Amino acid sequence: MRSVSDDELYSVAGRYLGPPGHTIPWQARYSAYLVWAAYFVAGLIIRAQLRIFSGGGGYVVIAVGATVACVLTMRLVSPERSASAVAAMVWAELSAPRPGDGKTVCATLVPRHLVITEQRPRGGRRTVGPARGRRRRKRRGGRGDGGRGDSW
Amino acid sequence: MSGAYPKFDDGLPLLTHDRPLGDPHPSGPLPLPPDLRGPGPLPSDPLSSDPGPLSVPSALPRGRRIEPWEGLGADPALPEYQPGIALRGISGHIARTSTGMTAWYRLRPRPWSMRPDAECEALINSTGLALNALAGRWLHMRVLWRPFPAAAWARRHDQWAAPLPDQPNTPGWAQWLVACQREALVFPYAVKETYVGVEIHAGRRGVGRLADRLAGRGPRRLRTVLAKVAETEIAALDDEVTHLDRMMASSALGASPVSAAGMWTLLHRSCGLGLPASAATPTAPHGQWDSTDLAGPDSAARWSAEPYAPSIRVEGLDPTGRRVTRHVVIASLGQMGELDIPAVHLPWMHTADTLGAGIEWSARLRVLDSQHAARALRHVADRVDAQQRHYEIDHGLAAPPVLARQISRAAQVRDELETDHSGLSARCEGWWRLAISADTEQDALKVFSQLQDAYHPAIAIERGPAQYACAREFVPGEPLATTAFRRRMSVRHLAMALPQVTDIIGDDHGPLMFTTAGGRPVAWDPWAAIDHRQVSGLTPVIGNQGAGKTFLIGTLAYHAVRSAQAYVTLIDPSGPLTRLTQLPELAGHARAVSLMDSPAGTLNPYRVVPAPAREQYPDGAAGDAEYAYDAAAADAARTTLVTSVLTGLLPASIRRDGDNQAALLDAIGQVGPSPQGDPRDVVAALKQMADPGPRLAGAFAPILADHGPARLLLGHPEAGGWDATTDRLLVISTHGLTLPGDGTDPLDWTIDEQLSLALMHLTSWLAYRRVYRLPRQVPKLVGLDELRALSLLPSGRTLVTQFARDSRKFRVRALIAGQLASDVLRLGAHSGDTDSGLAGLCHDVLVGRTTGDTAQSEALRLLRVPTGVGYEHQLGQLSGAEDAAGAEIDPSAPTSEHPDTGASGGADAPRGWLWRSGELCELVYLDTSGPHLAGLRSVLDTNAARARECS
Repeated sequence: MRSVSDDELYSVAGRYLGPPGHTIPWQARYSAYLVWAAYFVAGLIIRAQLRIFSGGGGYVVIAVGATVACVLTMRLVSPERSASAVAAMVWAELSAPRPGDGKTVCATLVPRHLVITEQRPRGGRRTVGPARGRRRRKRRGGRGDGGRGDSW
Repeated sequence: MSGAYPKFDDGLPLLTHDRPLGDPHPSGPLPLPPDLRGPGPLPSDPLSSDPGPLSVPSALPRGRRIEPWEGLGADPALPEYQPGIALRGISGHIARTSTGMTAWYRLRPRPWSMRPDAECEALINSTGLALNALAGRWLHMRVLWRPFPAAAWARRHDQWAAPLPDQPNTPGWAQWLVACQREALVFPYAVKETYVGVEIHAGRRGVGRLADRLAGRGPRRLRTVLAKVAETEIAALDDEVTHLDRMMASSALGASPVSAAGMWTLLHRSCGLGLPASAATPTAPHGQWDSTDLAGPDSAARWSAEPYAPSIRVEGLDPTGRRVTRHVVIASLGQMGELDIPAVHLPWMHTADTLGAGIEWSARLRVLDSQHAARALRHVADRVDAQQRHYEIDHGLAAPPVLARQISRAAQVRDELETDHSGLSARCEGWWRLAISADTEQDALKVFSQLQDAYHPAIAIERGPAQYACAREFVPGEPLATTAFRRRMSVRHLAMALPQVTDIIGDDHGPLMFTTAGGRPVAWDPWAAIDHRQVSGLTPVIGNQGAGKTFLIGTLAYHAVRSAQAYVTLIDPSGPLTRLTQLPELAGHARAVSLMDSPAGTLNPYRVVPAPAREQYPDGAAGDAEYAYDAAAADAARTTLVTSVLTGLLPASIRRDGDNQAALLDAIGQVGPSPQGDPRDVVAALKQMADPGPRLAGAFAPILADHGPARLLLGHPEAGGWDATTDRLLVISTHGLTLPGDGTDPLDWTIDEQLSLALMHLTSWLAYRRVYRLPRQVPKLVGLDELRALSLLPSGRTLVTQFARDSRKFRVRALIAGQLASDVLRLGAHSGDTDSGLAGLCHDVLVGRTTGDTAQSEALRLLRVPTGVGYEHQLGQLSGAEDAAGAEIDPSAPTSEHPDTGASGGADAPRGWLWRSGELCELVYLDTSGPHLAGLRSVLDTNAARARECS
């Protein structure tokens, strides 16, 4: 029994060649432009905060820097790993616990936070919280259904 | 019998005889260290030198009202800390997080090995349909490994066994049982378990989520109320959960809701990812489960990772309190090419099992409903079309060829979705991660490299950053760490994964005879199938010289006597089986007799076919009829045997003469079928007959001499040791017989060869006679090592037929060893149709190394395995004595240890066997490893060169 996955179908790496009839000399993926823009904006913010690269040449430096960073970043981006996935993985690497930091991670199943029952509760179509009708009956002094829903 | 479960130095749970067997311990539990039990939360990190929160109890806030229950015996005041995992509660098999609920099921293991393609494809299709029924739900698949449940096996085996009395200066039954468990626990990844979590409710009600969040913070009364809120939320889903339970159980998945013990194991193994299963598995009895038991998983492991390291470190404590550090590499399933299952590839989630490295899986996936799938397909098809237009129309450039392939593939998928209504063309998406653990990072990366090779080139195995985040995906309830490495496929392609495929052959009790290719010990109760499935006990053992047939029969005989006090009769043509009787643990219950030294008349063909005893049959008319039938059958068999033996003793030129045959039959008829008959009576009758009777009697004169081997045929001896029914193990040595060679023309047989052949037949009948004389209900085992010789004469074929027919009634496991499967296939078969013979009656068949195309094809037919589809070469690759000898002689080989040391290698080198047992046929290896079987290995070692080295 032969079977093929849909991997090739979904591995589309769309490239922007320029406006119709005007082919630009490089073929970058659409996502590269977004990444470049993100780096560029970040560079502008850093420039403004640190007051560096003042003047018109500063924009050129930031643009070049963003281009270099974009090229390096796009080496990691592929149909298998989108730009957002790469960013998430970088953040995951930065936030992972380090050896010797003394923190207990992951396996902290604290009993007081984790409620365990051996049998799952069964019952009819109970709802969470008393129904409106039941609430009205209570106000009139009526009794509930006598089930577990009355206990709270 | 009694037993208990103390820990040994390595912390593994073993059954010994210090506590009653009735303790309600489930399989494979390990004692939880006392410091990890108790009602309260535990120190956050036992591995750290930091004393943890328990060491700095905080004072109550000033002005806070003291609750009545906060007096003596109240909970200690502890700093609160948030759980490190997303799981918020477990109710039965339902796990809930703040974002949803998941019902967990355990999939039924499925066999795959050596099955016809049609069965494999049917399993794939039915699994695909079962998965398609779960469309729209997120699934979390987990595959994990556990060591062999040795304690549970020991408990069942101990209840089943009737061991020999302990002998002085030898390990007793209790010590032997412990040694078996110790050996069975050597391999940590023996049992594969597959779990599936099925999303039952997307999202949570706000009040339920709030209740879970507050459950650990408020006062006790509030916590009780909040717990009921969450329970009420689950109870409202009762109908859906019940429907899901029924659907999962009735589908091809055969899934059952995970018990408390199962959830316990799943949580422990997930939180202690990569830790040895013995260190990450609790021991507490699982019959009752309350919240305080969760102190077990608390702080079970500490995970950490260096920036962009290829693995994460998992530190934990084993049950003895020793620090364990493991390195875990998380890999992801990458691009998948074309798969051809079952013809070329294994199920793609089963391929990793072949490495034997205990690789765990975690898969998050969902089957898309038709609208969702169509929308996704339309979206990607539009992107591809737009890209192609961008190249060709907007810029007049040639589009990359991949775009054309993608357009074609999109059209194909669209066509499948629109025209195929079987459900197998539905689409699914998901993420598959693999956890590879080892003691060092280098070892883990080495296994990762092997894994890539195992999947190459059909599937790419990728390793990326964010190892820690991806590892958390293995814990139930944790969210997806990254969308990288998303796989999209049809449900048929998904069903080809078959994560539940594993080896399942064997019984849950009985001696641990084999191990599977994956390392799982396999127990075999030789009489279980006979007793419970009412099948024949005839078991062909086929293999080339050196395949290990004698070793196998000797090992099974040893276990049968040692564990079950079975009555075992072995015919030993070469000597190793005779040495079994020298084992000290069998002393007083084993006897070896040499046929050549036996008294005259031992093999009198009239007496080796016993007359049935009436008292062995039930009372009444039915018993009378059965007795009369069997008595008549015995008379017929006796007459046939005498005719066959006496005819076989004559030279071929004489026995082929029609007049001579008629005269001999006439004389045998005159003597009658009485067990008191004697071949000399036949000769006397021939002398009284007309010609050619006297001439025939004269021909017998030099053959049936009162001296030499022929004396065994004449007269009636007194009962001797060889005939005793008190010995549990009786080995009859036929050393000294000269059997005709394979392919020798009967016309060229010498008188000595003819006589030897007859004596070999009668010795086999002697074994049959012993079976008849023993009580029906006692377990018996017969080992005949000369199938070829038995198949040469009609009486031999009759004997095998008798074993095939009567073994069930008399509880006999009859092992008949030979080199060619064709000898078995021809037995009882109609002319030319070997499929109609006795082979079809054999519930169990064992085939070892077999070479030669014809022999391999016939061996597969005997195994009821499809021929011509590539299984033949496996028979030639099975390990045999050559491997063992090579391993022994090579001084650099790691297995070249003396058998007494208990190390594997040499005589105990595993011999591979294909074992057909009922519906299952799997590769197993004979296992005689361990110091408790050193004596057995030593006596069964037939390698002369090794014996010389040892001496």
